[in-house]
Amino acid sequence: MKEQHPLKSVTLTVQPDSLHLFTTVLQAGVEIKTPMNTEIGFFLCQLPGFSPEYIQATIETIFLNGTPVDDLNLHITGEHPVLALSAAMPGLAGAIFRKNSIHAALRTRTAVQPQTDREENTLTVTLKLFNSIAKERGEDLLQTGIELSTPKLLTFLSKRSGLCENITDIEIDKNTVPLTNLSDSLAGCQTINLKIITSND
Amino acid sequence: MADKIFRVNMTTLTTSVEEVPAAWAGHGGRGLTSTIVAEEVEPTCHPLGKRNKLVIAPGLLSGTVAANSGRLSIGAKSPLTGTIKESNAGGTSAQFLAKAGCKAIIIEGQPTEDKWYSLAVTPAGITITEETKLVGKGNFDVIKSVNAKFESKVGVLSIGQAGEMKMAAANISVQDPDGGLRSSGRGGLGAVMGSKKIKFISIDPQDGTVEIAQPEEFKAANRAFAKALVGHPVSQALGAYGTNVLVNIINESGGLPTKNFTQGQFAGHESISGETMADIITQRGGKVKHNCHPGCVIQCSQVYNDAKGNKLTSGIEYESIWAMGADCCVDNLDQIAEADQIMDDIGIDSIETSVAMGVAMEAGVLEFGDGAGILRILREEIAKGTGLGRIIGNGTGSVGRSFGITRVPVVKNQAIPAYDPRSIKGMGITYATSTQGADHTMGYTIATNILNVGGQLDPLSKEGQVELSRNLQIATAAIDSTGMCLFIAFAALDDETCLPALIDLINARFGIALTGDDVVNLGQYILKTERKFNIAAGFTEADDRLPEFFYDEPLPPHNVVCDFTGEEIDTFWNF
Repeated sequence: MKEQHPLKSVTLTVQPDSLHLFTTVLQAGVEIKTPMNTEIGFFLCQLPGFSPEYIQATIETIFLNGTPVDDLNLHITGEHPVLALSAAMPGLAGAIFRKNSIHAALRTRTAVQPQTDREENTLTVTLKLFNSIAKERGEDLLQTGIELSTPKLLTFLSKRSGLCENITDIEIDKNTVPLTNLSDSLAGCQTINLKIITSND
Repeated sequence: MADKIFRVNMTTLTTSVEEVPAAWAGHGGRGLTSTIVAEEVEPTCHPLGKRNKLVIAPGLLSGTVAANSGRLSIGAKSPLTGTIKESNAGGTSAQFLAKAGCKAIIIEGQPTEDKWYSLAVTPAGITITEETKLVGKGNFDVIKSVNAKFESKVGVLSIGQAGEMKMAAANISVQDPDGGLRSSGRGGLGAVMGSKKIKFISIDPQDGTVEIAQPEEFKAANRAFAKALVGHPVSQALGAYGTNVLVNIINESGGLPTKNFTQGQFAGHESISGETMADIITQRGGKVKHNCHPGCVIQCSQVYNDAKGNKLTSGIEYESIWAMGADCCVDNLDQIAEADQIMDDIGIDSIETSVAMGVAMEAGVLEFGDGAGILRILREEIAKGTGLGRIIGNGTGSVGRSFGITRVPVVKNQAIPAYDPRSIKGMGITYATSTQGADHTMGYTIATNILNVGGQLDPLSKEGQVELSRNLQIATAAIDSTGMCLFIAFAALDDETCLPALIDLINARFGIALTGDDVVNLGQYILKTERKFNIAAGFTEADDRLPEFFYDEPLPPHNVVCDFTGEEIDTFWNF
């Protein structure tokens, strides 16, 4: 088994009314560890704010490894599984991809990625939250803390320079770091534990 | 005010107001434009010649207060596809035309002198005036100048330089409530208007109104209809993110055509996604929600500002962002928005032109990802009508032929939009069989269950898939006749009160008693009428095909190809 180094903990404190703007980082995907053979529905229910009712009624479009999903009892498989969640989407394509859609017959059938044999008993799932799902459930997730690829955070902040005006404090492993030094301070870190909280928290 | 046909003869420079023939009385929108084109246009005529006619028709519910009823249909024989064509757009003109008592404008003939003209529509009819000042100008100058002539609000239809030069990708622009532009984008109808030497059309309804046969029933139906629209989650997603909300989803499915249809996912998708765009719009003080016509309760349009907070463009759609973005590998939303603004001003279809740019990139005309290069070509080549500009402005097929490229994503010479048919096979059936070339709006997600057009065959069989696509196209053709935005379809799919309320609206408007079966029959009639025109124009089943490369080149990441045979596709017309 590979030696595991603790990830650096990065905490961004932002203006209270700006937290929702940071939920867009979730479209890039966060890393979540889960036991092998976890069902999609069970996996989602472990996330903050993801009640069975919310999952059933609001998350209308789900992709597992790029393939639309109808059955929440499906096991998460694949070497590096990617799970993407969205609300109901427009257009014929949006309808085709909706859970249990009558238009599902118009999908292209794609190969399901099998589960390979592996020593570890956990999988790392990349979870992407799109559109209103990110807006509605993203703040809780960010405040609770997420595991995120460092380049994804740095790219997000560099492409949204306006967002950075809302950041009032940055801590890495409880040490304050200026925004200008964030990239250098995370050099060599492929993944971080990220929390985004508000100055009211 | 009783509806009339307003006819314009550009050869004799005369106009007339005519009674509506009985056979046309039940039609509006696409149903009416296709009926008139099929009846009055020689199918084999040159689309840019004197025998083609440009037909402009509001929908059956246009001009009323019915929610989302502001779509304007424009039809002709297409110079891009050679088929019959209907292209519809929002804006204010459909409602103003209906209020002026105009059921349709038919523009025929061609001026014998090399002069440009404008048309002015009022309830009394149409006047023709020679136009000199605005010739050569872009659409935004035209809109500004025309509005300055009127004290009250008017509708404006206009062509830019692309239409004047009769480029096959030229569109007709329609003024929206804020002086922005909507486009009847597909099929080169701007070139047909240019061939008639008409720079713009103003529409002043004066004090005209649309009569409602059963006002109380109409109000009740509209309440139910609007309620179904507003409450639906897709309507809410459209209001929050616009149609560009689809970038992330289609990318995730592996169906986002990238780098001239060689990949199904775009590495820069997050930079151009609807989520990112909504954040940028909010930060820059733009509008995330915006209506393209009065009475729209979904408001999927938006106003996108530049970094300084000045309006750059509005109403930028997923398909345009995909085409200039993923297909050309440009991951810069500001460049995409600027390109959209230029294309609006030139008056050229943002799907056709952008897909043509992707083919040009494959040909080595410019590098993939060269957003600045695209802006230069739009401004310096297409707007000025250089040789390269005319090659690209004449569409994707034109670029492929000119540079010897074989990966040319077109059906019936019209560019395939933003959903790769290898990854989303249902789109492929629609692209192949549409009467109007590749078009994502031809077979929409309609309430197949309510209209009883869901199909009788196993939906997972190829026969069942073709049947479902056929029934979607039938229902879509009917909706396109009402003047309704197709985005009503999502509520109609899930809310059993929505579609009956729409039928109630039509019945109350005219005092008639249509049923769901009548709606289906109308859709079938439209498709068969359009198909008959195309066959007479020389089209055969061999034209209902996707390009070869969709069968030969597996699309990453799923590595899928199209698998429908020609014979299977041909069963589409078995009705």
